[in-house]
Amino acid sequence: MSPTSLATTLQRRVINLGAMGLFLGQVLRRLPHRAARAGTLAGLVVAIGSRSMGLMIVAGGFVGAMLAVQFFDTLSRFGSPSMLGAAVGLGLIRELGPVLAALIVLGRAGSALAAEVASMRGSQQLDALACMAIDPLAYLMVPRLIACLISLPLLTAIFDVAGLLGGMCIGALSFGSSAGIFLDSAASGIGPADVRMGFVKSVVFAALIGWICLGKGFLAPAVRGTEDVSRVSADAVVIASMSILGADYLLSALMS
Amino acid sequence: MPDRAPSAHASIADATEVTISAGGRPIIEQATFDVRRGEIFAIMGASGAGKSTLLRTMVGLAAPSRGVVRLLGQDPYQMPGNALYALRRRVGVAFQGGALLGALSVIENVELPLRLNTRLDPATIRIMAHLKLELLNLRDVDGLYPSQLSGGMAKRVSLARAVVMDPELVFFDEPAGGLDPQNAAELDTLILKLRAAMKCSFVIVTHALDSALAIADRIMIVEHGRVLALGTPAEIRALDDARIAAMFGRTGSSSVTERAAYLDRLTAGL
Amino acid sequence: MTAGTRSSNSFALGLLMVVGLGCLAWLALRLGDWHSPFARHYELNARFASASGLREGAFVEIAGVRVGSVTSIALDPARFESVVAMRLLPGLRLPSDAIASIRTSGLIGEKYVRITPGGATDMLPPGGEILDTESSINIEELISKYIFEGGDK
Repeated sequence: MSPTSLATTLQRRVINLGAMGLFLGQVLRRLPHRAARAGTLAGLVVAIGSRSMGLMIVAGGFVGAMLAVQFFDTLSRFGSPSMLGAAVGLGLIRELGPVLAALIVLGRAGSALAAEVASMRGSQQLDALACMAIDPLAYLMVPRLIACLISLPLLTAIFDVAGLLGGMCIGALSFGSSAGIFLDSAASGIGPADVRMGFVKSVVFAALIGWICLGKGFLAPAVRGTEDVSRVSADAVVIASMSILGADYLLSALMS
Repeated sequence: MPDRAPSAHASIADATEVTISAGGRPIIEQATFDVRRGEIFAIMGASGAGKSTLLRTMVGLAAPSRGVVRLLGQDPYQMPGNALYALRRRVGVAFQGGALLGALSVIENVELPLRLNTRLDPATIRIMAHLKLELLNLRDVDGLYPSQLSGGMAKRVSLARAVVMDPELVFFDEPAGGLDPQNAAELDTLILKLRAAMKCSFVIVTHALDSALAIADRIMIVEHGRVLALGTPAEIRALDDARIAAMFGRTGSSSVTERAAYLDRLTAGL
Repeated sequence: MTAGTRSSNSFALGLLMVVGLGCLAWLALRLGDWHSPFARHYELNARFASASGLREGAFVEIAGVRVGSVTSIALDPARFESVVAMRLLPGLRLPSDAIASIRTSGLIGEKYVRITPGGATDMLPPGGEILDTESSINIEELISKYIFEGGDK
């Protein structure tokens, strides 16, 4: 890549980032006076949240079981298999729960959000709204962002609990530790700070998903067909997943 | 209610030396024209001539690189956001593919501007929306979703939505685009009917010459970003210009524009 | 939108709210600050001269069976002894002459509390204290004692 094209690429990236920042600012400014009805918001929470519940339970159960198997082996080597519940619980609540729930919701709902908004851009629905004197940010973006913020923390909690139950089943069935011991260990190992950290993470990840997927769709240039729509949506998912992992590291480092 | 007394100028929208560029390349160059109150003004040209871009600039969606656009006497790019929203309530726009919201039914789409911009009660809004749908010969389509509509119906619903706030000026992008001649002709009649019923002005962007000649009071022909001619249908017919002649399908036209016009007719059906 | 999809929407929304908030509440209230989730546990204290190496959360076993865990380890400032609070399975009752000892699982494993029930007929009430205790056995002390005392012979 020649220096000039590198410079223009860099410049474009900076401009894109600036536009995304501006988008977020504009949406946040409209949070207090949103134009959508409560029914619209409920529908969006169903689409983003309720439809992913089953996924959370299944994925959470498997992740918890996997953690139990992994930690049981490690803990046994150091003579503390009774800490299994704490190990699984902490791993889930602090890290894997928020991150994996966010990545699943991103793949399932975030990509759809980006595609929906990009295709609205392509079919001039966003322009039509503006021409009808309806602010597309207040009417479309704000309720979608709020729906993300409501859904993801709840889904994360479901994922965590499903994971604990999955780990408990494996602990009780395969390793002879009773359910009570497992939960007792989880309870004694997990403090309010851990639960708070998981909650804060899920809220931050929800905001990231909403911001990046909606922003990428809203600012999509020249959407002419389904190919452009899927490109925008894939872009949004890649950037959002990287941001979630980066933010996870930052939050872990800052909050522990 | 907005003041409907004709201004001294009698122009409802105008452009002065408007140049629009995208990516450093000019799409429209030095366009100057005005749309008079009460008239149907057609912007004609082959696809890619920049007429849709011009429409976007005129309705306040994309600022021109140079020159001034005025909508109802005001420059939409030189006013605070809330004033622009107030201005937009007096202007209706029907987009090419309809641009109906896919998540809403037909009636909800038409009601949307009233629901969000007025404090009318839902029953009144429903009646007003039905009134406009019936004006456009749309009956029993309330519960349908945009994906279930034919192209012509989507255009008519979009037009109903554009006029539901009783605007003074309506923009319509490609009324005939993608329609068979019969449907296109029906839409032309509906535009005339709307103007008679609502006393509003129309700006129509089209590449269908027949329809422009049939319903427009004045026609502006745009080619390669430049205004080629501007006048009444009679004046346009009388012009002796090879490029315009090509659009009429006369012989002796330059082959490039003839081919463009031909391709345009072909792609119109896509 | 038909009535059917609307009501199924409400159901889906309600389900998410109930299950999600339930899980969140469970995490926050039960796990975040655990108080006897299913029944009243049998809580006992024991005093040790040294609880060196014992951690909160360490398990408590009787006859090789895990019956509970250590909930807190505190210093009694008056007697400079450690007070270890334990939470045992509900329904369990120990005789008043039970012995609590701090043991190590394996050579370098974690410390745990082993309780050896005695033969007394009266039982320790919940919140009671085990009087007879054996402190941590310090492996390092043991080894150095063995090496140096063995070397004198």
